[in-house]
Amino acid sequence: MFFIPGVLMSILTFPGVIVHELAHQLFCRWFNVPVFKVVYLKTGNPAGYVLHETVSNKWHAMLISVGPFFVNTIIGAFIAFPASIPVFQFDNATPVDYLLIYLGVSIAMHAFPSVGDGKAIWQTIKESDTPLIVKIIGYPIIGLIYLGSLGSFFWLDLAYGIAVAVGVPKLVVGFVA
Amino acid sequence: MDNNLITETENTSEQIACIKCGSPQILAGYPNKLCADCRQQLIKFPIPLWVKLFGAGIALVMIISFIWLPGNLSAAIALSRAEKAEKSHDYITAQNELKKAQNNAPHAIEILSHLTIAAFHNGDFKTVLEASDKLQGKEIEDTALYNELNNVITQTNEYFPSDTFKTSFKKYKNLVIPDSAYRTYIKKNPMDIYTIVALASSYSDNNDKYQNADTLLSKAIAIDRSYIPALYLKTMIKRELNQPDSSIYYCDQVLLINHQSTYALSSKARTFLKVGKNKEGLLLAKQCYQLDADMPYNLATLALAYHFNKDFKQRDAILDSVKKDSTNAPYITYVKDIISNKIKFQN
Repeated sequence: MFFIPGVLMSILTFPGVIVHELAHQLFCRWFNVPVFKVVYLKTGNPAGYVLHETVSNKWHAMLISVGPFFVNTIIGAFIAFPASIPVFQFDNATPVDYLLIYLGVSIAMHAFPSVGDGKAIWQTIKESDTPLIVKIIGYPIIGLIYLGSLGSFFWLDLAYGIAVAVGVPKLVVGFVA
Repeated sequence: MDNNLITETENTSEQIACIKCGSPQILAGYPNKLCADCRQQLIKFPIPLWVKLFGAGIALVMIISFIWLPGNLSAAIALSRAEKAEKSHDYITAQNELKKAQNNAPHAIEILSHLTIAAFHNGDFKTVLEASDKLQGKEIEDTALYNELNNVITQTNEYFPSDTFKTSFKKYKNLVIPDSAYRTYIKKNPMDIYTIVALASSYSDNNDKYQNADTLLSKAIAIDRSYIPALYLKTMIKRELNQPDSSIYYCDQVLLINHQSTYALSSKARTFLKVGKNKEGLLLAKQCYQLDADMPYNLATLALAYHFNKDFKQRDAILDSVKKDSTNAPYITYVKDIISNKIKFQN
């Protein structure tokens, strides 16, 4: 097994990083949260970030943190879906299909919230005035974020991207057929 | 790959001016001291042009994907259904699904490969040749599929006259090949299954030669137990030799290979009718008609089944519907001969 630095992987899959940060920013805009700085892509760790005001609404805070998970997953799946069929099922793919698969996997693999996102949720829900239901939902999410972060060492994020781009179409086709 | 989301800490100092523009008219109730204008500006924090263009590119790609999705998805569903049908030996269903898939992906290797296999089992050699031609020079990654396809193409050759056959019988171009010529050829080429079955077939119109045909067909089946024309003919010959159990056995042999072989189902229906199992015969004849409503042999069987079940209205409706097509003539004449008792069908 050869080692690929995370930074290099982020550069190779840069569309996913940009979509992830843009999703954070758009969720902030949706919930009327001022944004002070956005870095869509950079070399280094983190590959991008959004600096915004502390959010008083706990639900909004959580959605701003985990929103990119849904946005990246949905966009990645939709882009890769029609291309994964000729590539993996019909055996007659064109270069455009491979390009779509690359885009889909790149975007979906950056769906996982970062440790920074996890810390932001932690800061929000640890406060005493946080409703119980937010805590019930929030703590497992933080746990999953840290597990995902640990898993990214074993390419869990890449595996997730491939699962979304390849596995979802297979599941859908198998279920409908 | 850490995409950090960093939150700004609350201002703790007794700042009374907007942290962005210095205006004293700050909006209360927020962690950061910002005036209304600056708050709105920061809520709508500008997205750089290149990011907007990137977003537009992603949106465009998504639109393309949306446009491609229905066609590819329906083709994939049809292929998946065809693969399931193929595994269950339901080759008519498989071929119908593959035709649907082919409409959306006419050059897909996987679809063409499965289509070749399904068409072979359905005896549709026109499709076998068309689909396998399109596969020439293409690389098939699935080894199991490749092997099966190879097997089918090799077997297809047995369904057509060999070069040796063509050369040997060149002089009979438009003439009936005599028995003796066939026999001499078979002596020299004892494994030429096509010729053995061709000779048996030439005997199938003559009641006195049914036994000879039967012997030849047994020889053919000994060479290749899955040679469909031999099994088909055997079902008929055994029926005509008053060996219904044996006829049904060979129908079932074909049905083991292809659960939807309309010829085998139809032949089995005729054998049931011959032994007086009229209801069973009609049931099977209807099943065949549902699978293939255009095959003259099936239509003739259904007409016969209605006849022996005394449903003359339905029988005549079928005979009326098919009389316009000249290709149906031999089948319809046979049914009419049975109806008029010219041929004694039932024991």
